[in-house]
Amino acid sequence: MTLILAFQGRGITRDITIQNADGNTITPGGSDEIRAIIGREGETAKLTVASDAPTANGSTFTKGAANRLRLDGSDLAAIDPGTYTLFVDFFDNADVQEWKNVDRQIISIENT
Amino acid sequence: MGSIIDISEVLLELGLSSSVTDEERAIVNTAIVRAEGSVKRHLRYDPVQRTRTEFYPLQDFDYQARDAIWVAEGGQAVLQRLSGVATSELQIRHLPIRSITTLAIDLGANSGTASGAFASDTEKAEGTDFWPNYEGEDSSSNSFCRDGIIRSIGVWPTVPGTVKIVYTAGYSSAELHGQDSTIDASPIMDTVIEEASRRVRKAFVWAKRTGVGFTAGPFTSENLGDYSYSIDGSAAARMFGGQWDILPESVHRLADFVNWGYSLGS
Repeated sequence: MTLILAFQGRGITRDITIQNADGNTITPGGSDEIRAIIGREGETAKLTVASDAPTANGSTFTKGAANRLRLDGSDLAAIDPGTYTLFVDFFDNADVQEWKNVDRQIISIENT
Repeated sequence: MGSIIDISEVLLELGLSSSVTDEERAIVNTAIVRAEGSVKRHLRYDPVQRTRTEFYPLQDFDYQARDAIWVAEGGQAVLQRLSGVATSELQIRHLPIRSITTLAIDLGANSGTASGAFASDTEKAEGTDFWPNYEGEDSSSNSFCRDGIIRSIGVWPTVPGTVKIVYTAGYSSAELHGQDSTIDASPIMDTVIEEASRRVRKAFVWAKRTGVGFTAGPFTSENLGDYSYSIDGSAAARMFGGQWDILPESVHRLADFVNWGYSLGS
């Protein structure tokens, strides 16, 4: 787990490695998907970026051994400054084809 | 799991943003629920914006005839005798009022349990028959009423459960987080974070107490020659709040938001 510090209006890129319970890296396959959600538990998500659904502003989450999460400055500018949870989900096509929550990190968004 | 705050805010407050175990996370989640419960008890209402259906009045006022008025009910004119305590102000529970969806008066409703209670022809018109004590407009140009009082063109019934109100009340997430330009309800969020963090620290210290030789408290003195130290054990009680449901400073912080009118009886 880590703390991600981001700023409104400024893009940010993070490589996220997904591991299984044994600590082995999971590389998403062709039919798997990954998703990042910024928000607070119980509330409507502030931002959702999936490997098969980039945002209109260009935020992307690209699959790979080190999955690259790119949050565009315009998308971050639409989120009020504050502390949120960054939910990282994995769509496991080989296992019941459901979204699994991989991790929840803290993202702090500040004014620019 | 919280409805007022997010776990990320408490983890940051506790300095656990970089690493947290599953057990710590579970403790924090439970502490958030307990802290929000304490705050809601103190406020006398849930401050999160929702739509609610409630019946009023709640109390059974003693009947002492004061006057009699004609009121319209279900297309008929009814002579209503007024109790000496009848009033044109109705204090409802959840604050602030954001909007009234429907308000109906049915003198035989029995809190909605009577057959055909609160039929559509018992609904009253806002602006004509009743109006909330709106005091301003929020950042979306919608009216809001902080004191929770709804006024009647006449007087409200004194028989319990004869008024049914469907209304929206509470603060939005942006208002609770101090991110709204008009309404600032951040003291509520601030209090929940403080109270949740206090409960978490108490739980963490209590977990350590099961270890041999652990004593909670700051050093008050320490000597190197013939090494010795003293610990102020009472400081732990002050840091973690002892037996308080919420701390005195939390009471002070929430003073502007408590529904005092509801606590005095509706």
